[in-house]
Formats: sequence, C-alpha cells, structure tokens
Amino acid sequence: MEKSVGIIDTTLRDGHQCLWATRMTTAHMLPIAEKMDQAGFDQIDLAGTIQFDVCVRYLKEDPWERVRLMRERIKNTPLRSLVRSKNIASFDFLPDDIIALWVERLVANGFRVVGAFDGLNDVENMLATTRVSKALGVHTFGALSYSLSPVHTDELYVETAKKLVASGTVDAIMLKDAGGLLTVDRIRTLVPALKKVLGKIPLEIHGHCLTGIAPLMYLEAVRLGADQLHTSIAPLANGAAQPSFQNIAKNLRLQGYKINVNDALIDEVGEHFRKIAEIEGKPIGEILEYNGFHYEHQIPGGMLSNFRSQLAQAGISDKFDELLEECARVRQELGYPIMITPFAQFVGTQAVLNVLHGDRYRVVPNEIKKYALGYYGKLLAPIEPSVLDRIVENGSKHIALKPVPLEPGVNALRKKYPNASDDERLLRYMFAGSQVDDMLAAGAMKTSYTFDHPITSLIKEFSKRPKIGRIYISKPGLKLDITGHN
Amino acid sequence: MADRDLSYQDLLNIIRLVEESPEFSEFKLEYGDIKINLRKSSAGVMSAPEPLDIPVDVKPKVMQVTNHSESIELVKSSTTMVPEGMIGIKSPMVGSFYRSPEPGAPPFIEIGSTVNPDSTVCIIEVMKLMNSLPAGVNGTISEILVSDGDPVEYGQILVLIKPS
Repeated sequence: MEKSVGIIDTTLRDGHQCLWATRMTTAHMLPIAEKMDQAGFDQIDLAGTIQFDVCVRYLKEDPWERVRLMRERIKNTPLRSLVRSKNIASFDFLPDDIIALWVERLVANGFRVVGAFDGLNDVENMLATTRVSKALGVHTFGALSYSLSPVHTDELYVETAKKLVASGTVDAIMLKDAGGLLTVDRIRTLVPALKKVLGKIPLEIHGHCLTGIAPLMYLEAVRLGADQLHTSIAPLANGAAQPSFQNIAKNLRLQGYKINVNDALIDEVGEHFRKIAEIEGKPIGEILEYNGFHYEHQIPGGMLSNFRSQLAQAGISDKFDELLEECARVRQELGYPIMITPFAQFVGTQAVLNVLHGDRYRVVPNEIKKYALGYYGKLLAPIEPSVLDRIVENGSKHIALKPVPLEPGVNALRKKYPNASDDERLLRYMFAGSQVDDMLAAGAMKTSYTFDHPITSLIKEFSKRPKIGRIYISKPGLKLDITGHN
Repeated sequence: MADRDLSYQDLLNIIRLVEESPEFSEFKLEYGDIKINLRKSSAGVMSAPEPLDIPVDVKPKVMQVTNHSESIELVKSSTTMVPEGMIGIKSPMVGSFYRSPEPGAPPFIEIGSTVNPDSTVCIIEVMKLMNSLPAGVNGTISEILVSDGDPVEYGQILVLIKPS
C-alpha cells in the first residue's frame, strides 16, 4: 500500500518570519486563505508569539482579529499555534495562569492545534501549555528543540520525547530544528530512536534550509518513518525558511509516497505570494548552498551584524574572530544552550561583554544570572563552577539566588483593565507602554489587497471605453491627461 | 490615490497599458514627483515627444536627522569628562539607556539620591537583555547625563556620582 505523508504548511507563520521578517500582513493572507484551506494540508501554522509581537508593534494590526478573520475562511484545515516555553513573547517567565489564559484565548479565537517548545527541552515548561490545550480538547504537540553540542545527544531527545508522551498531554511530537543543523546522517539515528518510543504518536519534522540540506534530510526522515513534514509554499520557502512544498512533494511522489495536496491550488498560492513580494519589494526564498561555517558557531545571522557594530563602536573591529571563539566558549561554560532566542542573545551578549572588557564575566546581564540560577528551566548541563561564581558575584544583587514562584497574574490583570476583553488584556500584559494603544489607534486593519497600482487600474478602465476622446484629471499630486485617436 | 509610490514595475505596467491600448494616442501623467509624457506615432509606435522626465524619488525617503560626526564628537567629550572628585558610570556596551525597571515604573535614581555599591542606577538594554548597572560606591547622584530610552555608546558616561 502507498504510504501517505502529511504536510503541515508554514507559509503564514515561519515562511514569512524567516524571509520577510514576519511582516506579512493580514491583507496579504486573506485573499488566498480559502485556496489554502482547500489544498489538503493536515494543518496550517498561523502564529507563534513573534507574529503577535510584530502585529502589535510594527503592523499595528490586532493579532486576535487576524486569527478570527483567517478562521472564517479556513474552515476545514486546523489552524496551528506555537507557544514559546513559559515566556510567550518576553524573556522572563509568566505565571502559569497567564499561560493558561493565553492558550484558552488561542482556542477560543479559532486555533485547533496548540503546542509548545522550550529551548532547554525542559518538559515542565512545555506542559504549562499542553496540559491546557489538551484539557480544551484541541490537538496538541510538544517539541524537541534540536541543537548541536556534546549534550544534545539522541538520548536527550529520546528522554524528552518519553517524558512528553508520559504526560499524556501531547498528540504529536515535533522535531524542531530552528538552526537548520540537522544532517542526513544524524536523522538516520535520531528518527528510528524516536519512533521506537513514540509508538502511534506521529513524528513531525520541522527544518530550515540554511545549509541547503533540509530537503534531503526530509526525504530520509520520511523513509525512516517520520509522519508529517513542515513545508512552505515557494517562493516563500527555502533560504532561512522551510523546504518548499513543491520540491518535497515532487521528490516524495517520485519515491512512491502519496501526498494528498492539490498542486494546482498550491501553484495559485505561490503565484499570489510571488506577486505580493514583487509589489512590496520583499525577498523570495533563495536556494542556499551548503556552508560548513554555519556548523562552527551556530550564531543567528542577525546577531552577527550586531556583533560587528558593537566591535566597531568600541574601536576593536579586528577582534571579530576572537568574538566568535568567545561565543563558543561562553556557550560551553553556560551548559550548551541552544542558539535561538532568547539563549542565542544570552551567549552572544555575554561574549561581547567579555571581549569588550577583557575581564570575563565582569559585567553580567540580569538574564544571564537568572538563566544560571534556573529561572528559565532546568539547564542541559551544569555551569562551570568558577564561571557560576563570577556570574553570581558580578550579576545584579537584586536577583534572588533561588527563583521565587510567580504569583498568579490573571485576577490582577482583570482588575487593572476592568473594561477590556481578555484578548486585549493579554496584549496589554505582554506589550508595555503605549504599544497596544498605538495599535488600537491605527484603526481597523486592511482586509483586502489590490495588486494593481490604483493608476494602473484607472488606465485599464479607460482603455475599455473607446468612445471617450480625451480624459483629463487634475488634483494635488496627480495630473492625468489621455488623448484618444478620434 | 497618492497613498502608494509608483514602483518601477508599476511604471512599466502603465507604459505597457498605454502602448497596448488601440484607443490612446497621447498620454500625460504627473504623480507626485513623477511626470510621464507618451505619444504614439501614426504607425502606433511610441515616442517620447518631450524629454522623458522621471525624477523617481528625488527626495530621500528618510532624512538623516543626526549629524553623525557631531554625535560622535559629543560622545567623545562626554566619555572623557569626569569632573574631579566624581565617579562616572560608563555604558558597558552599545545599547539603550533606561532609568526604570519597566515602562511607567519609578526611576532607580534621581539627582540627589543616595546610593550604595549594590544600588542599581540604570539599565542598559542590548538585544532585549537588561544590564543593571550598579553604583559601585557609596555616594550621592550628582548628574544623569542621558535621557530615558536614549541610545548610548560603548564607554559613554551615563551618571555622575559624588562618593561619600
């Protein structure tokens, strides 16, 4: 019998997060939403917490309204959301009841798949979400955050998967390779080991194309029993994003797998986003070549440019290589955290401070001290004792040595904003200052997208009217004068 | 209507539409800074009767507000000038200066506040990480040289403390 492979579409979440800095607007999505719903995906990933963040702060769109509008159009395919650890959009942990309310509102607004990941693979941090989503009756998943280090062994992932399964709160396990590091070789040991402990629970593969390997890694993962793949629709695929649906489907079908997705609809969706990219001047996903350097430091691209400016301002641009080495050393000393937000910032910033000041760990950011003391979950490996001493000694004295359990936050939040909805309260909780007010002041978001420039539409209309001999329009900023033949 | 810039692709589309339309013989458009004149010759081939005048984006979209050399000068002078008998709290790296632990909260210090070595005087935010800077000495805050939220340079002096 032909084995079928399920596809989880990431175009509307990770695709533009990786390629358009998360700047896809609701108006870009809505016109094509129905076609995506009909395409045949197992799930459509719509929002992690970064999408909420960018909606509020940069696009001035109500993210909850985006979800509702998409849910009106996407009636068959479950919409998916991803929660980050116990901190959602901040670095510091939020009280459990705030996380619970967040998950409740995700479901109430239309998500039918809600899961979580944690950079440290601390299962407790994920269960804060999955316990609630499971109780609400939606499909749930827990993630294995893949990284490369002496502590990121197959055993670590197997143990994490076992704990997630034993919790009884996950319907699927997502192998999440945010850094685009997974190789074909590693997948050959990792997938069989995971399949053994997962039983009937499906294994999803989520890769990134940063080193060009992910499309091949996907094919091998499927051969070894992976059940669902995360893909994006080209041209919003490849580059730093997921492999393209088009490429993966073609190659899997060639190998005899069944992919129940309608290619003609996918072509239309791809064309839609290609046109928007062209009009908005946004990049499309380029196919990247293998780059061995990526495996040396695992530092996100955005951080490398910050490094360069930090060193330049201090007049020590020549220390760039030293800084990369310092990153590797700090990461080791801190117990090999994964190099994604927020841990990449922890390692990178501490490395910059160490190089700038010569004296290592003399200046210690608050978050580093909290991390070292277990505020963000159980560490993957103990911190080197001499380093831990310096962090404790030189970090802010106002950080308690033992994490203090967080007070519940929902009642106080409701009291603080008595007339707001829970949706709005949660946004106000996460986005301080006037950010939510500014978003609301921007008014209703745009829900339609005009591909033609208004002038182009106008001329098209005029050319359909041959009886008009001359058209003259003048207003401030615009003068249009067309003379016909007759 | 003038809410969207005409891109290069928009211009090409417009020219193509005029060219393909059997009905148009002459076409003039002024849109913001852009002026286009097109006339079809009798054979239907387009020519530009007057020099094609397309000053696309003559005005830079973003005005550079800070004069860079000047701001660097300012930084240099402020990094070197710690008055006699004062201690200067320097920024450990390039970042943003904050006077309070979170927006709306009372500031850590005001001019005249007494501090001890562990008192936090301000926060420097880098890549969303918060660096609480301690006073390092017993003393009184004499001057706060940077405004809340301002970007600061590496080594820039932020606060002056008169040790007691």
